[in-house]
Amino acid sequence: MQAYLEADTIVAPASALAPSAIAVLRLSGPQAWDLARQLLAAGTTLQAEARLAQLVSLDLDKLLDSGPGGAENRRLEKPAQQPQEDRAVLTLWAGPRSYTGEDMAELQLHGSPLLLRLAVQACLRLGARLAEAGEFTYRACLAGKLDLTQAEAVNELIHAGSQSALRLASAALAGLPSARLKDWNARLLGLLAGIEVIHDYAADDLDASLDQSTLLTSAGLHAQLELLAAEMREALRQSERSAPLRSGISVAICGPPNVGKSTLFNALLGHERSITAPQPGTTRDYITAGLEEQGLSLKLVDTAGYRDTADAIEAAGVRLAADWARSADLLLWVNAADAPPAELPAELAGGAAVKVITRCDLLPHWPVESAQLCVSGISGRGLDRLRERLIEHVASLGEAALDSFNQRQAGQIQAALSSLEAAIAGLARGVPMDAASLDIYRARELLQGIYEHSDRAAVVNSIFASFCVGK
Amino acid sequence: MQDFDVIVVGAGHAGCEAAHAAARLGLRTALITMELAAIARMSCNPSIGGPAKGHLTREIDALGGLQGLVTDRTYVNLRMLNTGKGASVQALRAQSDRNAYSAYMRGVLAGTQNLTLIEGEVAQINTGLVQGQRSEVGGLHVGAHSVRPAHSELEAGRTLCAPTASVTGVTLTDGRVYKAERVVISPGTFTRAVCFMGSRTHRAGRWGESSADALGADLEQRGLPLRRLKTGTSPRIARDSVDYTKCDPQLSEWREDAFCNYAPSMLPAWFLPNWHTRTSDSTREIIQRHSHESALHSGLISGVGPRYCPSIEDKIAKFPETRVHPVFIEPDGLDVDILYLQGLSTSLPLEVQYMFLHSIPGLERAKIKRPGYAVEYDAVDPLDLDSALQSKRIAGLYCAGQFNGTSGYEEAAAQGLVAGANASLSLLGREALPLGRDNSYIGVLVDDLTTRGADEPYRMLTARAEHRLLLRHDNAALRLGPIARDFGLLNAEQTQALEALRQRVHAVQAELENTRLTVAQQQALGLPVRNNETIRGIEAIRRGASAQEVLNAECAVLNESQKAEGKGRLDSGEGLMANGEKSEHGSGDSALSTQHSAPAFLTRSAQRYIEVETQYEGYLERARLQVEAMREREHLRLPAELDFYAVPGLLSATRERLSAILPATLGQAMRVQGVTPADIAALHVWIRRATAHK
Repeated sequence: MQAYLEADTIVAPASALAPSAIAVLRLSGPQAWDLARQLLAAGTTLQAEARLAQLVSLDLDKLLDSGPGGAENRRLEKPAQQPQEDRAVLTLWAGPRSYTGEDMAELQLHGSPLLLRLAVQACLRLGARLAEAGEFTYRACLAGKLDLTQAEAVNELIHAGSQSALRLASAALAGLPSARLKDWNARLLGLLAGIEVIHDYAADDLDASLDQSTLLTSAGLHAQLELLAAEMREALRQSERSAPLRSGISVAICGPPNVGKSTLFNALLGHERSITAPQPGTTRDYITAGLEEQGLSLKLVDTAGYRDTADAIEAAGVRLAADWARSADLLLWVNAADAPPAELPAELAGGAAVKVITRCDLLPHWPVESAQLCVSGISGRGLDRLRERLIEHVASLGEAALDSFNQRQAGQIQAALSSLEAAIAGLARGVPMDAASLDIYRARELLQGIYEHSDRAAVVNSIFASFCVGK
Repeated sequence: MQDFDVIVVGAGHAGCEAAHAAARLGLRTALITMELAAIARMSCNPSIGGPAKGHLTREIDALGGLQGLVTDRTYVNLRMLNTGKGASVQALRAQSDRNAYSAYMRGVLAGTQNLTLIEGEVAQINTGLVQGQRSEVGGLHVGAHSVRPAHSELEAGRTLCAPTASVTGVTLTDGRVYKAERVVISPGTFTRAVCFMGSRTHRAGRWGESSADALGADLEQRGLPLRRLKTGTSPRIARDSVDYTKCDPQLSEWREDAFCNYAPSMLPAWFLPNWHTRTSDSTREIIQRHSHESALHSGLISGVGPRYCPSIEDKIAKFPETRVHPVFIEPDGLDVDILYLQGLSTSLPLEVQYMFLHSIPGLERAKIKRPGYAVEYDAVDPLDLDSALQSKRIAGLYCAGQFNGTSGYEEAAAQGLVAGANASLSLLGREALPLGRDNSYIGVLVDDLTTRGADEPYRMLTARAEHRLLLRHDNAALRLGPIARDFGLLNAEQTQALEALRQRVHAVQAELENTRLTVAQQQALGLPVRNNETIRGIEAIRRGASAQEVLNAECAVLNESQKAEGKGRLDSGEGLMANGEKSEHGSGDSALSTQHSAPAFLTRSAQRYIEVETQYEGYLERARLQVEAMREREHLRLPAELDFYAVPGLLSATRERLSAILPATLGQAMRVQGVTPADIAALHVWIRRATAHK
C-alpha cells in the first residue's frame, strides 16, 4: 500500500467491468459522501442519515464530461435544454460503522461497463484516487474492523471454488481461526507474565506478597507449553487436511502413452478441453481444468504419456507428468483395455492412487468383477463410478475444522511451534526460564504476526496484493 | 566569564552521580543542594538493588559512578536474589546504613577534584537566546509543519521545533548567580512538593524539609511540560518497640560479590538482620474502615502514584481478596534507634497508622518515630527530553532522576550519570554516551523514558529489557567498562582493573580450554560422564561445573603429576599436549600460579563470566543475533528536518506523535506509543529513498 494516505478518498469499480444487471462503484474516505453527491442530478435530496439504499438520479452530463473528449462532445452533440439523467441506487455509510471504518458510498448503476468506467473517472476528476488492489480491506484492517486473517478470508470467500472452501472462508471471516490464535497468544502472554513475576517480584524467597503455590514453576511451564504445542500440532494436522478443500483437490491423470488419458479428462469435464488423437504423445504439456463435484472443487490434470523418450520436448512433458503424479492429492493411473497393462512405476507411487482401465467398451464383456475401475471415455460408461470414487477419496480426507488455517498461517504456526518446542526441550534439560523465555517471546511474536500488522511489511503486502481492486 | 562548566541542581542520588561524572570528565562542576547534610539521603527504605535495579547500580559502577561503591562500603545486609533462577536475573540487594550512606557519599564528593559543593536553593534557571542558525532552522521547521491539523491534544505544550533558548546559569533564592553553559536539574520530589498525612498537608519535599517552590514555578514558566506525580513512604518505628519473637529474621549472606566491578568487596563491620512479619485480618479491616481518611482516597492528591510500589491502602483496595501483605522491618543503621517498615507506605492519619500497626504481629507496641506520608511533586514529561536527557526546549538544560518520572534510587542515579556525562560531553564537543537497549539497563531506562514516556512513576524491571540475557550482573564491566574508559569516566585504578579483568578472562578461558578432566575427576565433580571420555575443562563448565572446581581438580592432578615427574599424569598423550600448549599461551607454568597473578576478585569475576557465557552459549548467540538483526533499523538516523506529514503511509496519529517527540533514530520511533510496525516500514522506505536521492 505505497500510496496509502488517510486523507485520500478512494474509488474503484466493485463489480466486474462486463455487461451485467447492476454495476457497483465504491467510495471510501473523508470525501466519499461528497463525491457521490456531486454525481447526482441537481435537486436530488438525500436521506443522509440512514445506512439505507435510496433511489437517486445521476447527472449523466457530469459522467460524460469525464469521457474521452468529454466537454467538447457535450457541447457539440447536446443542446443544453434538457439535463440527461439516469437512475441509480446510492447507499451511504457513516464511519466508523462501515466496512472500512471510514465514510463510504456505494453506487449501484445500470450494469454497463462503460457507465461504470465513466462514473469512476468522474470521481477521479473530482479528487478521488483509484484504490490500490485490496485497499478497501486494508483500510478496514487499519481501522481495526478486520484482522489479517479476516482480510485474507475476504479474498478466500471471493475466490472460493467449492462449498467447503466457502464454508472455511466464511468461518475465517467470522474470526474463528484468529480467535484460536488469540487464545494461544493470551495463554503465552499469561505464561510470560508468570515468568516475569518470578524474576522481578518473587526475587526474595521470603516475600509473602506472592502466594508461593501460585507461582509458575519450570515444570509447570513445561507442562503448559506441552499442552499448547500439542494443540498447535493438532491444528496443523487439521489445516493440512483442509488444504485440498481450500485450493481444490488435485487429481492427476497419468499413464503410458496412448491409453486415452485425454479422452478420460474430457469425459470427466464434459467438454473437449484436451486435444485427443490416435497418435501416442499427443499431449505434451500438462493441462489443468477445474471441476466441481457435489460441492467439492477438483483440479483435474491431464499429463503427457509416461515413457522413456529421446525427444527433448516430450521428455520435458514426461518430467512434468511425473511431478504431477507425485504431488497430486490423488493419482489416476490409467491403462487401456486394448493395450498391454503397465504397472504404476515405483518412482511415481507413494500417494493415493486409483487404477483405471479405459476403452472397456472395446472388450467383449464389461468386466464387472475387476478390482480396477473400468470406464469408457467414449460411451461414458463407468464414469459415474469413477466420480463416486473421487468423492469417496475426498470424503476420506474428512471435513476440515472450521478454525483450521490456510497455508500462510500454517507456515507461521509451524515456525511458532518450532520455537515452543525449543523452549520445551530447553526447560527439559534444565535451561533456566530467562533463557527459555527467549523462545516463548519469539513464538508469541510469530503467532501475533499472523493476525496483527507485523513489521514484516512484505507479509501484509502479499496478503493484499492478491486482492481485486474493489475489495 | 563562566563560573562553572556544569551546574547540578539537587544532590540526591541523581545529582551526586551527575556532578561526579562531570567532574571526572575534567569540567569545573558545582553541585547545589538545599542542605549539605542531606546529600544522597535515602527518602524511603535504605535499600539498594534487587532484580533490574541492582543491574542498574552495577552498570553505574561499571561506568565509573558512585552508587555501587557507596553501597558496598555502607551495607549492613546483603543478599543475592534469584539465585535459583537464570543468570541474567540474579542480582544483589543491599540494606545500607542510611546515615553512613549519606556521609560516605558526601565524603567522596568532597574529595572529588573539580567539584564544588554549594548550599543554597536554586530559584531559577537562567537562559539566553539561541544564536544564529538554530532558531532559523526552528522557524523553517515550524513552517513545514503549518499544514498540521491543529486538534491534537499532544501538541498542546510540546516542542515541535528546535529549542529557542539556551542555558546560561542559575540564580539562587538569596540572589547568588552562577553562570554555566550546562545545567543538570535533579530536584527529586522537591519541586512544589506537598506532603500529605490524612488531612494534614504541608509544603515539603521530604517530611520537615522545605520544598523547591520557586524552581517549580520557574520551570513551568519556561514552558517545561510539568505534571504532578505522587509517591509515599512508610512509618518508621523505635527499635525497642518490636516484639522480635513474632517475626522471622532475614540474615545477611556473607558474600564476596559486590556492586563494585573494579575493586574488591569489603565485609562490613556489622551485619544487621531484616525482620519479616505480615499484616492480619484486622489490619485490613482497620484500613478499609479508614481508607476515606487517606490523602490518596480523599481526593487531596491528584498526582499519579507508583503502580509497582503502592501504598498499603491502595494494596488493600485493589486486592481485597489478598488477606496477608508482607511487612519487612529493616534496620535504618547501626547507631540509630529507627526501623523502617517496608511494605506499609501510607498517607493515613497518624492515629490510624498507630491503629493498623498495632494489629500486625510483632508491632503491637510499636512506637512511631516518623509517620508514613505521601508526597506530591512536579515531574517533567520525559518525552520532552532527548536521548541524552537534554530538554528539547532549552538547550544545555539536562534533567535527571525522580523529576523525570521514575521511582527508585537506582533509576535516579543511572539518569544522573547519563545527564551529567552527556552535559559535559556536549560541552567538550563529543558525542553522547553510546548507551542503548542492547548494551545496558541504563540504555533501556533512558530509551523507555524518552520514547514511551512515563505516565506513572517508572520502575525498572528485567522484563523491560528485551536483550536481558546480554545485560547481566556478571558482565557489567566487560560490557560498559571500555565505553567508560574511552569517554574518560574511569580513573587510573579502575582502568587498570578493567584491563586486568579482560586479561583474566582470556587466561581463564585458555586454562579451561587446555585443562583435561579424567572420568574419575568428572565423577568427583558429580558431572554426567559420557562415553567414558576425558573432557576439556570448558566442556565440564558446559555440563554445569564451576570454573573453580575444574581448575582445582586440575591443580590436584598437576601437583601429583609434578611429583611423578610428568609420568602417569593422564593416560592419553592428549593431556601432555594440553600441558605443552598452556606454556605456549604464556599463561604461566601451572594453573596454580596464574590463578594468583591477579587480584583474586578479578579472577572470580572472570570465572563467573565464563561460566555463564559457556552455559548459556547457544542462547547468548541467538540474543546477539537478535541485536544484530535490529541494528540497522535501530541506529538508522532520522534526518533532523524530516517532516512526518510528508511521509506517505503513516497513520495520522503517528504523524502527530512523531512530530511531537521527534525521535532521533528509527529505533526510537519504533517504540513511540501507538506507532505500528507498518508505520515503521513506511518510514524506513521513505528515509532510504530520501537518502538515496541525496
